[in-house]
Amino acid sequence: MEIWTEKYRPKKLEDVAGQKEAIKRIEAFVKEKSMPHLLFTGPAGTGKTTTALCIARAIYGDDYRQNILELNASDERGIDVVRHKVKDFARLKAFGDVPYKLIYLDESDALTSEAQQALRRTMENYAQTCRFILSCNYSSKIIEPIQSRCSIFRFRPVGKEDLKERLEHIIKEEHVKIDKEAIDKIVELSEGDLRNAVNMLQTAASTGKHIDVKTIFEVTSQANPDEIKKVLQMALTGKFKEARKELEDILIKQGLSGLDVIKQIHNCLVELDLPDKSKVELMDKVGEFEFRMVEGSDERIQLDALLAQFILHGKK
Amino acid sequence: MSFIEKYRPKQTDELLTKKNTETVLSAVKAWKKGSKPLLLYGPTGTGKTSTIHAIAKELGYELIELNASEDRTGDAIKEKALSAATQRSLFGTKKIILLDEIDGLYGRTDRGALPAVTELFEKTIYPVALTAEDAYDQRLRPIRDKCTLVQYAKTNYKSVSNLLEEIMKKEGIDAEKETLDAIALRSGGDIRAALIDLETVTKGRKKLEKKDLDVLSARDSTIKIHDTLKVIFKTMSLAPALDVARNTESTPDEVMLWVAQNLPLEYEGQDLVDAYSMLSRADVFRGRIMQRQHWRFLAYQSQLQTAGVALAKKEKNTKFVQYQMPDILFRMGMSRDARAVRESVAGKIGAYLHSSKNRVKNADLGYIRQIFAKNTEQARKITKKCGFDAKEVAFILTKKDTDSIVKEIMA
Repeated sequence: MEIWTEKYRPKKLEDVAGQKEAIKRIEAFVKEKSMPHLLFTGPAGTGKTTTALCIARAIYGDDYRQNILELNASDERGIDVVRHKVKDFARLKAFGDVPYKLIYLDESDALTSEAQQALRRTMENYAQTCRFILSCNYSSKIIEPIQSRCSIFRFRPVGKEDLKERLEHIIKEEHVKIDKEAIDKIVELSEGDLRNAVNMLQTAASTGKHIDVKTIFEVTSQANPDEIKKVLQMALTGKFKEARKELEDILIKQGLSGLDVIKQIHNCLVELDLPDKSKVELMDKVGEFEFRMVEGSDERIQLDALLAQFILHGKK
Repeated sequence: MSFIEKYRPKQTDELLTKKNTETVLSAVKAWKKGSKPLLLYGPTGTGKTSTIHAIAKELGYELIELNASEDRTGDAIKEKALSAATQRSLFGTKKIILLDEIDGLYGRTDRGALPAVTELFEKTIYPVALTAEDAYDQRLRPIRDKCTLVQYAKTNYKSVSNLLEEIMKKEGIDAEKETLDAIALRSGGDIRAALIDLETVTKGRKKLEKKDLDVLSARDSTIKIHDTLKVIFKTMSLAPALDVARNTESTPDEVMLWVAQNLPLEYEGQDLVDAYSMLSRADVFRGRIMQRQHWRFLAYQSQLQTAGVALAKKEKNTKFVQYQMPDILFRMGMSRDARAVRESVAGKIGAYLHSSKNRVKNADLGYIRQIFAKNTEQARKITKKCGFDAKEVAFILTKKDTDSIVKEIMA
């Protein structure tokens, strides 16, 4: 396994980092092999998927892959696809001596509330043969009827000590040469997202050189490229045509969607060399054009129109 | 620079219509006060305007040109054409007066234009040339009777194709003759349309094949769109802009694409910002039409993208602008390709990491890209694990799939 987040993904529930309370209760369910539907809520990189996979391993042993269906609400095109996949999967009897199969639906909050209503019926239809584990970032986006059918677990950002422990384990296994301060920097920058922390570590280690704090900064800044920021700076100097061309090139090369770009513009807005008042005015514009993009039909027109807004703020 | 500009004939021997060129050239050379004006007429894109341009350049005459874009009221014609036609230039340079697209003259905005043209004919001391598509239009009669007529026919497709071939050689693009013939044929003898098509299909390429022509479907009215744009970008008042919204031969969606493409060439500063905002509003209405089939909104889309854009300016750009064909077609195509690769990359990583594509794109891709760039050995292992193809590896590295590093990783 070549990507460390996968290579070092815990296989046992007890190894899941930083979610002691939740894991203890889940272990109890698994032991009795009687489990309600589960709803995991919490930010990215806190162990929701890992926990679901660990549950499957604990219940089914080595055959776990045949008994768990992994779905991603944001990847599947519509609730009908979800329903069909669930139907096909649920029809077959579980492998081995287990009373039910598992369906893990990641990013459930990507489903519209209509789709969630449909999901609720699907959950009821297959309640005899399947258990659902839903995961989401915000439980408030999950409709009440689903919440009430699930046992809800909150996953917290992974604590500093737990993060450090996991990182040090990997550092030892992979023989990574790294400064203490650099480890602390990863812990700090990852903001409780273990996946992000491990990604940082692997990327920093991939050159094979000794890792210091500087390496970590380089890695994180390159992971969030500032090409969009350069385009905005160009627009601020009044070079609209050039900025528009540049933006197009980025869109083509990176395969970004218009909304991806608007998000990036929003993110780097505060870092621009502008008076605070301009920043706030532009913030309003970014929101306005994101709204228009959602409502409108042509992403490029909306992006160019937003980009044009920047040319008025540079000259002041 | 567009092909149309770049390959506009600079000398009369570059023109494809030898006989007409001779007629016009000798008439211009022999012109004296009292000679008849020339009315060049025939289908669009057959070289009428180019003939006058080339002659002016070759003879070293100053070209005074009025075209459909300008407000051609009687006053405007008097102010610009008549004064130039009756005053000798300071250094004795000769002039030639061109009233382009004279059949576009008649409308509400051009009241009083006809007497002004007649006055021009009577008073000019320099040769005057006019162009029109249809010289036998009833409304042109008073003008036609006073002119020497030169008829332009649709250019033979072979000549057009040969011209295209020459251009391809100069551009260093490898093109099959058969494909060029096809472009020439579908242009229907309209050289300008053929050049636009040629540019469309060869942009950013070094090779042109028959299958590349697929993108060309359904754009028959690109010529008329230029006039539509001229009105939108040059007028300062509501009536002509609404007029053009109603009467243009292009679809509202075509107009939108063309306006979007050319807006920054015409407007700047606050005008640009305001005009873009109008266009963006028009697009919101378009989105609502598409999402809800609420066709009533078409009126707003259509009016905002014409009149809204026209009235957004405080000042008009008086310079002539050569409008560009919207390159959104290729860009969308290219960007669609890149998006598809990005999706497949994210899907493959996602399957491996138990993650959604979205999360891979936001959380992992930035790191994996760096690992690929820094460590070929690891890149090779990840590639094997995820089952990337060369195109996907190239995308991750933002390199071409022919690049040696890509080959090394795929090996």
